[in-house]
Amino acid sequence: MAVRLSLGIEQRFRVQLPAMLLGSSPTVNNVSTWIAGKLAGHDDSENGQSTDLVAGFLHQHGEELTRDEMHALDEDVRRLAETGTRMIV
Amino acid sequence: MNKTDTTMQKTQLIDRILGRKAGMASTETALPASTHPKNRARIPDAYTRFDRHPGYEKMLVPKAASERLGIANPFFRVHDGVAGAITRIQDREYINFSNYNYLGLTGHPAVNQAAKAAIDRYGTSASASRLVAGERPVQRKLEEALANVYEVDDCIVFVSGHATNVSTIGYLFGPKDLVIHDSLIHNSVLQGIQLSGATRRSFQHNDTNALNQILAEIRGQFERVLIVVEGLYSMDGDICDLPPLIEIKRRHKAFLMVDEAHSLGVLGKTGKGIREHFDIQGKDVDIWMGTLSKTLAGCGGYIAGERALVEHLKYAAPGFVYSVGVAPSLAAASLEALRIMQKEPERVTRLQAQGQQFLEAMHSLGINTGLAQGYAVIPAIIGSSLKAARLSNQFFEAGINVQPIIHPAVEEKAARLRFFLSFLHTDQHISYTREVTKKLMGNR
Repeated sequence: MAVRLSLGIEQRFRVQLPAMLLGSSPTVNNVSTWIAGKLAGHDDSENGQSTDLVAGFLHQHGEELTRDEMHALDEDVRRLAETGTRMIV
Repeated sequence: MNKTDTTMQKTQLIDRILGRKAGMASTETALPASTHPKNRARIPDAYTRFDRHPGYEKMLVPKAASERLGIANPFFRVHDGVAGAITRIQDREYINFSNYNYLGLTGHPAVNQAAKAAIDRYGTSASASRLVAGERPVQRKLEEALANVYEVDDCIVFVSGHATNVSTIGYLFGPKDLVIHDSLIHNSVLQGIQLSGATRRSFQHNDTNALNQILAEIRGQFERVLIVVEGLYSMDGDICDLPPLIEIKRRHKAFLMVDEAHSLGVLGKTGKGIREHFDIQGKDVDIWMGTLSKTLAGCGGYIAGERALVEHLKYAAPGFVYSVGVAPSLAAASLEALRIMQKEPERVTRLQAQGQQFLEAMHSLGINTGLAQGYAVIPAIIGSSLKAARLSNQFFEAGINVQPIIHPAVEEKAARLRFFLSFLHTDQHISYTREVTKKLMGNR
């Protein structure tokens, strides 16, 4: 079933589904959001990844930030990744 | 698209889903292929660096957020002194709600003395696995005393509470078995199930009807079945309903394991845990699990139950067989702590009264304490992790040390401040904390 679905999606949309997506939370909502993201040109570049991280964090931790705040946070995360940091002082 | 194409694509896809590397069979013999410059270049940079590990990158987000919002890191604070009702951090005294010193036995003079005497006699290490390097009498004495608490045959002590669950579940169960657990079960149980290869299912927190229903449907598909619950849930402060669980495990021919990490010394008239609370025979539960680091003032974990279970684990559970035995000084400390608990049940009585008093104080302020029943663990549910961290810092400024607990330790969007009560907390500590809570959170 999962195999047929993935294959169908790959053929129809020309995107490869990560195995994780069907393994952990294969809801119609999750899968379609993922496909839409792919088609909209979100790739796996640094930029895309960092934004996903911030959005994921905010979702899991019940935070509400404005678009600007999210963007600023995103910049901070990228800066920390570049410069390196200490998390235990 | 012709049929052969589809079949090939299907095979490739299945390989990918199963995480098989393409052409895995051939790579064993074709070592040069993987070192070929062209193939080397194909390995992403992220696979070769710890600072690009997805888990680490994810941790940069709260770090950046707390920097941006000016929230000091509440984790890994350095304490100078015993973890009790009062603690000293950077030369300032705080009322401390981040400790598991439930009965005030960590730092107790008699417990310290027992540990010192054991060090003088046996040194600081048990050297190696007890299987080969031999026993020290104090290790056995502790196990006997713990078995007596549950009125069961025997007991095995591990060097870590977390490893106790991982090793016991991981060793005893296998791919043909089912482990079904309460949805709020501790991480160590989940890790044990993962290691075992057993099928894992969870049932909604404390919903014994749901458990019964799932077992009615799927029990027949498995060989052994283990049900795992906690006596006192450490993030929420509520207890399991033990009598129907025993009924269900009998009906479906399953084993029942109860994690008593936070219940020993806290539940029951004399602190013997959930068993005493519900007045149940020790033998009615198949696997009793507990830890030495909380009420028992040491470090480690234990399994108590029938002889065939305990002796089997002693000869075979990897976390016991291939690990050093518990340090004699720690075993001696826990043994003495257990003796004091049994000799002075008024400690338990007082802790239970304080728990109720604290819970009522929070309720009088309209604080959301979730499922808490007033047994030593009382959360104030906040929701947002950043808000919880900020509040924790505000309490800290007011001289109160209480930790924020955030996802993944609790469910998403369920961040909280978690108050642990100790026998050592005074009425003044509790009333001062109520005042500070009122000031910081009263308008909720």
